[in-house]
Amino acid sequence: MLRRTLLVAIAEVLTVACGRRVGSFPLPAQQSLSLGPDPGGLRGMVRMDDPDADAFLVRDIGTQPGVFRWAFRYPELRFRVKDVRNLKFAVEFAIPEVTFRVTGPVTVSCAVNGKTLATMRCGHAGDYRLEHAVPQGLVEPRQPIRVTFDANPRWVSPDDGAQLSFMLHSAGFTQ
Amino acid sequence: MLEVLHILFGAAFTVAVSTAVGTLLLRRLRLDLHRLEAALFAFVAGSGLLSLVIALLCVVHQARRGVFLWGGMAVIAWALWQERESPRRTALLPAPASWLVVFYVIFAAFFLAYFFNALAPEVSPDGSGYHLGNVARMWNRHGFVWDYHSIYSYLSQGTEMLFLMAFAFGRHSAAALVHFAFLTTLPLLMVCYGRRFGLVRPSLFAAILIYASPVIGMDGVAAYTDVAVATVIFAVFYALQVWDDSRNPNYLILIGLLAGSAYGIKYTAFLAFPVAVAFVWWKSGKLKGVLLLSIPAALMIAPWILRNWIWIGNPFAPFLNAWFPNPYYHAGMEKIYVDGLNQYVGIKHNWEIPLQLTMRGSLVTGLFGPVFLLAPFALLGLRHRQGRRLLLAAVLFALPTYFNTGARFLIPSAPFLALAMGLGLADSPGVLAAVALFHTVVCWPSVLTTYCDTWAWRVSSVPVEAALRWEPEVPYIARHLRDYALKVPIEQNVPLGQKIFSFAGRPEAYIDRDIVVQYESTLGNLAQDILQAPAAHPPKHRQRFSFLPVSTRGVRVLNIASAKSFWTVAEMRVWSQGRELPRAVGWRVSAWPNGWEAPLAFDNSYATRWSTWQAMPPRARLQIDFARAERIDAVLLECDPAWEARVQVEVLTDTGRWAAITDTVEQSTDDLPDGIRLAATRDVKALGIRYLWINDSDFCAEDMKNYAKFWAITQVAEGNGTRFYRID
Repeated sequence: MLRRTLLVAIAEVLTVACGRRVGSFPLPAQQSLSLGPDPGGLRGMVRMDDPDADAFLVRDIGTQPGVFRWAFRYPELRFRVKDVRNLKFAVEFAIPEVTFRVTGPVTVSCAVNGKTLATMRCGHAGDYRLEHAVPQGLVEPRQPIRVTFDANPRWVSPDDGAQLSFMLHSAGFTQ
Repeated sequence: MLEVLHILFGAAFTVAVSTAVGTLLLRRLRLDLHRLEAALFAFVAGSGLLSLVIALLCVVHQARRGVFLWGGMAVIAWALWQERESPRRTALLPAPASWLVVFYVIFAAFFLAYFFNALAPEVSPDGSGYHLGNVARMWNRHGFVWDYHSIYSYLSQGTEMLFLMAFAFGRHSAAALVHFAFLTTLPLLMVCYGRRFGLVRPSLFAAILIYASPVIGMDGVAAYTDVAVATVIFAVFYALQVWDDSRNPNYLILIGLLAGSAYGIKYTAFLAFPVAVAFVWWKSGKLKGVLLLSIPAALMIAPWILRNWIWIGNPFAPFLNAWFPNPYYHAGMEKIYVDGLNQYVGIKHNWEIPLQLTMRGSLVTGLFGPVFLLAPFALLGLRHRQGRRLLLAAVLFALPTYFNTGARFLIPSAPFLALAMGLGLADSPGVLAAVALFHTVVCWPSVLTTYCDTWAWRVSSVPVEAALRWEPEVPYIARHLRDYALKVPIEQNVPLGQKIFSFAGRPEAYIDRDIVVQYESTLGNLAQDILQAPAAHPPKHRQRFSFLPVSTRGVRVLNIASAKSFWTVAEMRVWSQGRELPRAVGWRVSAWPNGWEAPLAFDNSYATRWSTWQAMPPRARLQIDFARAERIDAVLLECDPAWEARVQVEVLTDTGRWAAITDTVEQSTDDLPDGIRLAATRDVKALGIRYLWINDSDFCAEDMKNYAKFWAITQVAEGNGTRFYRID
């Protein structure tokens, strides 16, 4: 009798433990899916302080990390996009007071794969954003895209002839 | 030198209080033990009772120096007062003087070598890791630390309770010295056993074999528990034999206490209790005797079972998690952990095992000495009744080796084997002495080094200067524990209470911060899984289940296959008319198994995922209950492919039953949005982990080093092949 009672008690205790129910939970907070860049590949947009910004530089853009980088004589970037529908190109840059005093108003233009996309006249020192829709067929999905800039006039160093166009903050394609 | 005195006091005081408690117990039980065996049994039984009391103090967070000191002094005084009236106990059978001289000379030599090793700063892997890691944490909180989860803190901690008392006065080395006390008790107990049962020479021979055995010596001078287990198990066996002769029922109480405290020291020693019950039942056939034994055993075992049951929901944590599911340790990780322990890694043939266990030692983490190659001679002991019992005990207490191949798991079996060998060889004149002396010579640290593997776990020197602190502690520890180099930068940079994640175990006894180790807890498993997501299992695989539109209050995906791998889902989305049905506040999500982590499949993060965290069982499921009926026509699973899973979609019908609607799946892969590294550190941070301690050989170490900015981590310190990062 004693053994039976013990066995029943042990079985009941074990059953209680094994039957522990977890139940259901409310939905958790929803996270943002796109947080920032991944290394090892081009994408459609770059900011000059991105950790992989150097991978987008083709020529004539400073390699010193920072929010802004100097664009020199023939600045050129490269990109790659997955989806080319409703694509816009935008560039954010600044004309510093120190160069503007010498050059006066500057005309900045950008070209995508060799075709001029947009032009802007910068009549004062400060921040600018140049944005323009990309015509169908100008870029292809997953293929390298070359973007070049031209600034006129450029600041020319009296010492060594080095030329400064503007200070680049970000550039790239959006939808 | 003052530090050494503190260490010695901590250890000696703990041993003295244990002995005092045991003395009071033996006096109460009125057992007819002889002088030396009474002292040894008093220490062994008293240590079990003392650890029980300290465990209770830990529950109420009163494990404090003052409580230990004044409580201990009171117990010692009480025992001395009681003992003054006791008649002097008789001595055991005399032993041959020549044998006694040889024994005590060898014993003294090894005693000194072991003593200085135990007194030196504790640098053993598990001792500086979880054994004293747990003790240090408990000492900081003066009791059990309920909010720290690790498989190693769920194990029974009988010896750690004694370590805690010693640690309170003398820190790490004092704890190791308490284990050294068990190491020294074991051979003396064996000699007493031989003198009581007329096996004087075999027992002296066996005691030498055990005391000089390299793995037993090394284990015994570290803050481990195996030698304590072996001592208590041998005491159980010893007391059973005495009870069998005397039939004094009070011995059964002592046996029960000892058997229970064996479980309290180490789970693998649970065998002591059923063995004792079986022996008593066999010899007496009376339930009363079994009960007399079982009640004190239950008293000693119950605290550990109850603690885990209430705390974790699993009385046998960290094992049997499949039977007792809980949110603190995954059943599948338990299986991986246990499977990893019972493999002989690096051994190509079973015939290598005896050689490893006796002469090499690197692949089984320790060696017993070449003389144990003569173990088959123990079979000659079968001619004697004691020999048969000893051999049976040797076999039974070797069974845990099936679960862990480390040589130290054979330590509880070794005393029985050595005694049986002694019995088997006793009739050959001179053999016992010759073999014992040979063993002594070849196991002496400097001789041992000439033939064992370089990496065999053993006492390899006698560090007198470090033991006496003539050599400062810090450089000594740093020389032996490479991770110790990061102690200062970690403690300077990590605020108290912050957690550190590591893929590998660390010397947590010396680092005053909580370290979440990958394989030790659910939290560690999750952090590891998240950090490995970018490279090991980005959920690029998509499984789309389309069906005719249906209005339902619930939908689930159900796996109907069974496989060894885990089934994982990073995100489960429901679609309607070509668009994802927006997740609504009123939804409830659930899963089986591992329902606690169901929300991870619905958090819109590709770094986290729900996983069965165990072999894929049939009817594993992931489920959404909508707040109101929703019209849906597809379910999308984003995951790492589990090809063995066979998934079907079920919807909840109006009658409240689940109806399968499709098992046709379109498989595809797609690129993930950028930033999964950032998502990983964000989600690890959300688990409460702000710091990462990464070895250069860890899976994601190179990526973290090269792309720290992409992970949003900053290196805080570096040293000895490890890097310490802060999540920004």
